[in-house]
Amino acid sequence: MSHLTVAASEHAFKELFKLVRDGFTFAKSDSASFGPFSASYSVKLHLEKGSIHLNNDGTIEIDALDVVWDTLKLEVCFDFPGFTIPGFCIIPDPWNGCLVGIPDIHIGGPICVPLDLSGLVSEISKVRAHLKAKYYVDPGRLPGWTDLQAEFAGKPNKWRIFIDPDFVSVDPIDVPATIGNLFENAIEQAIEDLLPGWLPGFVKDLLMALLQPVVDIVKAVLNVFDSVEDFLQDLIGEQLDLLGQIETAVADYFANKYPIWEFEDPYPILTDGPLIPVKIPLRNLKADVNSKEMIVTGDIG
Amino acid sequence: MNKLSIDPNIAHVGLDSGALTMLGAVVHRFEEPGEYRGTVRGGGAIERTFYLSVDKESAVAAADIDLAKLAGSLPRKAEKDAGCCTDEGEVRFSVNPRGYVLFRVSGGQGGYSVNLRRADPNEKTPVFNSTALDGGASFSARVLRPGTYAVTNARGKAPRATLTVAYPPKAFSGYRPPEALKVEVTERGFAPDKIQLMPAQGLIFDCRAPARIVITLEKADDGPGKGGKPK
Repeated sequence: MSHLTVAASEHAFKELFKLVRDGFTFAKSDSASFGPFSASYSVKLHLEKGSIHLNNDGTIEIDALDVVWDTLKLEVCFDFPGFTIPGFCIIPDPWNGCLVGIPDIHIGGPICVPLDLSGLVSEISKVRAHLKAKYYVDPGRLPGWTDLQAEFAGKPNKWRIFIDPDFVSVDPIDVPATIGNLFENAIEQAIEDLLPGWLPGFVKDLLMALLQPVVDIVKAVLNVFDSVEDFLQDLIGEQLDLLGQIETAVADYFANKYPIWEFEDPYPILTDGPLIPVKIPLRNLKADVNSKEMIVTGDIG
Repeated sequence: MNKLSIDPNIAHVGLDSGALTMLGAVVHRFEEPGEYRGTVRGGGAIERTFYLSVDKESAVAAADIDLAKLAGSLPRKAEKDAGCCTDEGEVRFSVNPRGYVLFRVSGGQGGYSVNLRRADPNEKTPVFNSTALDGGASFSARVLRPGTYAVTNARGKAPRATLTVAYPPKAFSGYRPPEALKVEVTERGFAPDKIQLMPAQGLIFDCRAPARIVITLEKADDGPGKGGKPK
């Protein structure tokens, strides 16, 4: 039988969870190449809402946790296949081909299309976890220090209770149709911006007229089979693996970074007296939940 | 973002078969086998010489001679190096007498003419001069600037023709020019003498009489919208 038992009600646990949730932020910038195109991104996000349930089997379930993308900026770059002023045949050959012709004039180059999706909200639909107690030795603690010296230096060892996820399920980001239109407009603008300012209007208008509708260009270059929104959703979620990175970051954060509670070891008792505090060592700390509360047990000595 | 590198000569207005630019080209068939010595002239000066071997054994049905590369006048080094003529050595082309030779300008300011005569020292007679096309030579033109043009034959007194080039349709319309239009040039003039072209549509003059085709802009068309923007 354990020497020590500490309990926190479900309500208290939920309040503690809010502190953990609100401490989470994730920010990253990176780029990747995908053959016909490359993409770079800059993201920053935090978590909001979410409902938490404690179960008698010792598991914790967190549902509908909002992922708020404070920053979600993408830039997609690709080699625009270019403007082509078609050539023509002067002397046809006897087999319906062309023996002598004026070649096409090709004008092409890379374009980059920025897209700002900041403010989007997606969802972590489910986190299933259990509690895990981990012993923490403060890395700033010097080897020769006594427990008391470590406490005075503010670097005591600790037992930490973490929400250790068994799995985190992040829903795909739902990119609205308006964003698809924005992306197409941005491509149109980027193509227009490719043309040098000195180019006379009639040449610009001719080159632009020779282009396919931008949606066809996008589909051809970026291997988009359905809608632009689906492409962006796949780009963010799968190709850039942002959803996977969030899963990992959330799981790592809950399991290792921000404990739901922590106990100093040795644990100080009788701290208000004139003497130095009395401290008792904690051993074999374990944490569990049932449907009503969180229970932490441990031994003294 | 970087702007595209576009040869500014694409916006050149007006064409002259005797001073070829990147919007014009000449095609000629050399039916008599033999060795020919050619000169590329920019203005009056000789820019480069080359040799053309018209040989029944040649498998080349269409020799493509880029006068800009020959003259070394392309604006970008990569283009200069991509062709035949990066050094000052002898440049040779070959074509079958049943084939054709295309003289064109791939970039740069242009203004070239080409002249070929038999390389045989006993034969002085010029056999081809692009400033005086004849005998079935063709001058092909890309007239990009919308507007109305006068088309004249500087080698004859035949009446001029009128050429109209339409304004391009709206952006991203996937516009494709129709097939090139053929115009016959004889001593009587041009047939047809009223030429309507769609934007970037090719124009081929089939020269049956001595001809130097000059296309001169008379009235520009800046499009139906403000600032020349098409609606």
